[in-house]
Amino acid sequence: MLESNLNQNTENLIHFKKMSNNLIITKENALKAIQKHPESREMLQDLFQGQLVEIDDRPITEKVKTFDDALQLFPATEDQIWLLSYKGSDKEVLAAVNFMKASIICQVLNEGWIADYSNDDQDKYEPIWEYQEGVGLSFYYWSLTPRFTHVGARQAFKTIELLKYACTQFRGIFNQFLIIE
Amino acid sequence: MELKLNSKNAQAAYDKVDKAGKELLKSLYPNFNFDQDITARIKTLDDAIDCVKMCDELNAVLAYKGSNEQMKGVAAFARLSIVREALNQGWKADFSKDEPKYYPYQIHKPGVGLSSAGWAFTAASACVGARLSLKTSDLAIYAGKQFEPEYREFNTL
Repeated sequence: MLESNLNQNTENLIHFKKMSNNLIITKENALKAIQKHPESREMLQDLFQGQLVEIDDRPITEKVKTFDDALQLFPATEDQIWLLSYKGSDKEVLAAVNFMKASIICQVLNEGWIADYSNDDQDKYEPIWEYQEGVGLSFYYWSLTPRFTHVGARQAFKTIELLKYACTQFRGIFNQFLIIE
Repeated sequence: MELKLNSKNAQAAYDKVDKAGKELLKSLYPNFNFDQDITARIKTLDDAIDCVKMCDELNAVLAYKGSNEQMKGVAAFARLSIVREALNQGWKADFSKDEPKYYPYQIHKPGVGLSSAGWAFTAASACVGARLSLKTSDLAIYAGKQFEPEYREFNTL
């Protein structure tokens, strides 16, 4: 029954080999099968419990919706955990905490890309904000900065789409270090 | 018996008191120039730190000497925040007022890296934030040049 289900769901992507009394399947092919046939995911995960770690190939903007999501992809050091756990009310420290959060989000969304101001051919996008009474700062526009910078590499993005997403999805974090209360 | 007063403490007191208090301090210390420009008083990060009250946690961030890129950035951000507060002498960027706010920006120069390039201004309608804004273009130029290494650290990953 199991063998017939596997064959049905994964067609030729999973290769079975008869070896003694065991059926051997390569991990790579099992993962490919999951990607191609999402309906087989649950059954394959049940069959190989704990052995199949799926590659999450969703866009980064789908994977990172909260700061905790970003932190999952960017393990913090002891120093960072110390600062992130700050519970006091000093405004400069709170601004520093939120600046670090925004920097981590930026780095995670850029997926390894880093703004290099010595490279004219590399486009870098920086945020321009608009202030509205009662609302605070909202994304207004972007600035294309190949060789100069207004806000630095820690707030620069590799695409306009990522910049817009970060400024919209994480507006609260940006506001908490950009504005002086 | 002589009473001695540290010049930094005298200046800090002068900055806080009203007109009558300022006159009193001037008469007590006639040879001290209480009205010197802030840029003559804030030449180093330590000068700025002397002018600003800080909690232990902020001190710890400022003192960070490790190699973690995010922490180095946060330390640079905190240092520039302290410089901004000292140079602005109580002025705070207020986006509900459509007044100009100034900040230095940097440009990459071959062989040098990011260097002070001048100032830009921002208003309520479109801005890059208030945390590092200065109240005049002269202060932005001064901060950009005098604290160039701190801005470079802040701007570079």
